[in-house]
Amino acid sequence: MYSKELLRGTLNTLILQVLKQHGRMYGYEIAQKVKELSDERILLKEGSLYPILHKLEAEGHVTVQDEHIGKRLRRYYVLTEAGKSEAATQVSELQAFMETVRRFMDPLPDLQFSI
Amino acid sequence: MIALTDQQLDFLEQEIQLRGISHPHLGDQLLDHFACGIEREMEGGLGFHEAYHKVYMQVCPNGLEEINQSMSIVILHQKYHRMKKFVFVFGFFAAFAVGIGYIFKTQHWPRANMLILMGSIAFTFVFLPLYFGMKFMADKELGRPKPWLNYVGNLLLVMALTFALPYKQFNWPASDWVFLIGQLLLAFVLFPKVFLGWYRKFNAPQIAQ
Repeated sequence: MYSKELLRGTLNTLILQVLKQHGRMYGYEIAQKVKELSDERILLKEGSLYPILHKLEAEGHVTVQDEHIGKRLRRYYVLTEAGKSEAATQVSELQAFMETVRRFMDPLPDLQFSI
Repeated sequence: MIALTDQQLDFLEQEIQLRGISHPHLGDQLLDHFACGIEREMEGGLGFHEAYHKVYMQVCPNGLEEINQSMSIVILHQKYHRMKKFVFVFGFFAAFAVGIGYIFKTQHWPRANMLILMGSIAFTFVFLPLYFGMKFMADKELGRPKPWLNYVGNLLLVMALTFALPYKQFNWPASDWVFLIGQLLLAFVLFPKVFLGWYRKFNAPQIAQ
């Protein structure tokens, strides 16, 4: 599992991207999807997930749809147009960042001289 | 597919409420989240209570209070951000009015006294109480409130300091005494407090990020 320091700052983007790709989802479903897509390397803690979802709703990036399932109230999240645009922006920024970091990680080629 | 019974859901609801989840929709979402996780574990062969214990340790190994606090921080940040904007813009204009008022005063332009008076009143009796009130609410929401006397004491101290000068200027009753008390508070209370605070912050061990 990746360290908290690596995940901080990317969770927002991951959640937006998952919602963009899979449409209407509820909290547990989002957590399971992130776990599945990351081969269990990213385990989204509920202490991070629900505050992020609340923040996305307050910022107008998602709307909510409540559904009663027996005694349970299930809250589905759907990206708004602003949310889709934000998802694209954040993904693009993250990809650019990863490309920059990759340059530090790739080793220099071995240079061999023969006389 | 296994679905939890109403009794099992009631048990979960009670457990969530007992842990003090205060945010209106968070309780419902956690109930659904727990229920989904437990149903999944029960499909794997576990009993309800075993599944509940396993899911609880996965969802909140440090307790449900941690989730509540994380949510509080997000909500507080949003409330605080909106209110902060208003309070600080208001405080700025109040302080600005006082500053401009003193310029008018030195230039012998009209309305100087009105600007100084209105600005001082707005700053001392509106901005400062709002600022300290916000500080108290923020500390309380984060679970680290200081004794209320601390906030009230600081508020009264700063109010006395900011209003002493215009009070003296308008020669209101006992203005000499008010001004003297204000200066003594500044020299012997506020300055030592502020400089000691800065010194401590400067010398606090730096934690590597």
